[in-house]
Amino acid sequence: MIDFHFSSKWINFRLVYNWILDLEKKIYTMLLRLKEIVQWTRMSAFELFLHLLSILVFSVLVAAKVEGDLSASWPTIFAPLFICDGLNAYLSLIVFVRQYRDLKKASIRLACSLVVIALFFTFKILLCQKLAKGNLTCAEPHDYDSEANVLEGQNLYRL
Amino acid sequence: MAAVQKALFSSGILLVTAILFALRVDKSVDWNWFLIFIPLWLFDAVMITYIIVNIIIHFRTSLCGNVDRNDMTKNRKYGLLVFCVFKIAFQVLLCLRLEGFQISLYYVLIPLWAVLVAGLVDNFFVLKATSPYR
Repeated sequence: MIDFHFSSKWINFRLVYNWILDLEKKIYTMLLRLKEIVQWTRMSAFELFLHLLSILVFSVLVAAKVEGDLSASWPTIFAPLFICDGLNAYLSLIVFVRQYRDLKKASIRLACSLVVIALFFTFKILLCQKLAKGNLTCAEPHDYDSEANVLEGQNLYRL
Repeated sequence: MAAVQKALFSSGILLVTAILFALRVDKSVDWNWFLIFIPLWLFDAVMITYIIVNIIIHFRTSLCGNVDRNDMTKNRKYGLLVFCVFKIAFQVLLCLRLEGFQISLYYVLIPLWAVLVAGLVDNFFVLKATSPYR
């Protein structure tokens, strides 16, 4: 405990100090619930923070794009999400490097997070292409005759 | 509900919603958007019931430190209730917009933005606090 030797006519320092302690305790107990989300998604709080931030920026950009206030292309709109995925992959690599003493545990953790990140990334990139090109060509087999060259190697990116 | 049941229930609801959403977007079915969102309405109903029951339990039992067995304060539970209300508002606005009403997308996304900003602030305090769940 800090003992206050000074006093003021205007401010009751002990009261302020107790109030701050109380607030900290409240915040701590208030936020322990995050434990459950961390358990479910196997993401750390910082990864969740990145995801939330990227979704926030992305939704603002989408709103501006759809309402016609922003003339950027869809890949640009999706950039925050891709950046978030890249940062998350980087973070999991860092965690892997720092857990090298327990290699088995570290490898399992790395594999899990990389698989999840890769799946998210695939979903986002496919969604982006769907929005940019109107539809995914593979979803409509009857179009193959008109676009016979689509699956012939050099045009695979047009999936 | 135990954590496993909650997680399974949420994942199942999300899966069904995603399937229905894909069917509707690909025009395999031609249902009203409010029907597509039925799993989410169900989820909201269950969530609100669960939170209200928890608030009542909080009032009816004497707790030490104002925290229940899940380390939840009363204010936290009220906050979750407000989160549910915002989520429902967002879903209703989204359904209306998808059904063809002329609502600006900015207005549709305002509840979502409020929830996201609240979540970010919440998460920021966790990152700042000295807790084991970084």
